[in-house]
Amino acid sequence: MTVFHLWFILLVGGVFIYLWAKRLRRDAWLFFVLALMSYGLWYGIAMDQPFTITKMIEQGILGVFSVFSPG
Amino acid sequence: MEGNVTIRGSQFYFLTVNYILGTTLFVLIQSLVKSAGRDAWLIPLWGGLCGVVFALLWLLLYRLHPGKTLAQISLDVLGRPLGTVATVLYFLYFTTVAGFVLRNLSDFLTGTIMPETPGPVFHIMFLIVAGYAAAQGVETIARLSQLLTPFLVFPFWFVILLATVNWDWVRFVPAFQPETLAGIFRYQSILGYPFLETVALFMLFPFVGNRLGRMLTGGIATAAVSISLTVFAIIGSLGVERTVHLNFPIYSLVEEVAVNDVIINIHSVISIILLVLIFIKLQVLYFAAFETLRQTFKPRLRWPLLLGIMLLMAGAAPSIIENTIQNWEWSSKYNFVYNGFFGLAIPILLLAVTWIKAAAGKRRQRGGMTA
Repeated sequence: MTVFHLWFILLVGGVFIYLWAKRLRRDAWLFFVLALMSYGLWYGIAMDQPFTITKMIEQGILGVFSVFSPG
Repeated sequence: MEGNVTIRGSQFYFLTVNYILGTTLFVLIQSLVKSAGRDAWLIPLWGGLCGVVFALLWLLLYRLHPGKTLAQISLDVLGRPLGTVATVLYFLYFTTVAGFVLRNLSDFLTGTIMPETPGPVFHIMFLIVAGYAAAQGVETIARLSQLLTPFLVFPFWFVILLATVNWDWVRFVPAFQPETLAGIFRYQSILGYPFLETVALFMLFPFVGNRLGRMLTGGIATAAVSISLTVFAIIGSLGVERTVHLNFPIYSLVEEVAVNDVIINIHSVISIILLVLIFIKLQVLYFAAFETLRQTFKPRLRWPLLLGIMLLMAGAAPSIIENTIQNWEWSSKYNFVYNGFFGLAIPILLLAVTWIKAAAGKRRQRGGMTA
């Protein structure tokens, strides 16, 4: 796990700091948000318990249906 | 439209066909045959007909906003805050579809040729090349697709024809029974995957030089007929009972072909064709996701965005589904609803808001003239 964190932080942190230093704030934040989302997914994979995206979508669809269903 | 970059109508036609065929040929066939048995070859035909109707809806929206991509139309019509929500949703949609594509790819490769290789190895390798192609722009993607198409079409149908040595017409009898015909129309997920997923090509519309409408609808129709013919060939050669028990019927069909010990191992040909088709679909999705974010947030550099999308798609692939059974269940229940939201609901909303705005503008003009 330490290796995973180290790789991720080095890669993402390096790019983020480079963009920030170049005063490309918008680029830096956009990259950071994408990297943060991918970190969430990769963390599950590294833990051998991947978060299942389709299950989350399923919950969302059922939630919307329950709002619009009568009773 | 970006600069003077254009692709020819014929290039867009090939891109549409290859995009739709993408993973369809080896993911969908088993579930089609499970649903409608020996008449399963009819499903892609009615699915394709609906696909053409969906395309006409997208073309109507595009005619009202010529030269703009789906992301730009969303921002223009819905305004900055709501438009940004819509474009971010589209970005996530393209990412999940790319996740499905990559997962199907690694499941196929680990299930057939390379069982020892971990899935993320395939995901990252394919994403690096697709990211490079997306960075080169739409012209590169369209030219590559056009260049590769003859090398995909002729070997594919040649191999399928070779595989029909075990053909038996009895496998189609009795045809058109009421219960199987009901199964054809019950299989609604064909509308979602692959036909509604074609909405990703909307991100390429402004780049198409001529005959956009004819090429898009023609491409969808050609892909539907190709899927139908492939299912027909598989049922005629393998039969329904065998097909429903095979993970990749098209691969198994070709695997058994050997012509006098001279032409053997031709299943490698079909594997390469399928990998190239998947790669083309992945390129389009990568480009669509990249352009959606680029047109919404307007970053100055391209490479950090490309890298971020690559990390996200590589993470989405292993996380998209739990296993094949969960994938089938999800597809049969939610595929049409999920793809319908992005392929139908949002475009219809954009059309409605465009018409309402136009009507309100006319009324205001008339009010101004009378006052």
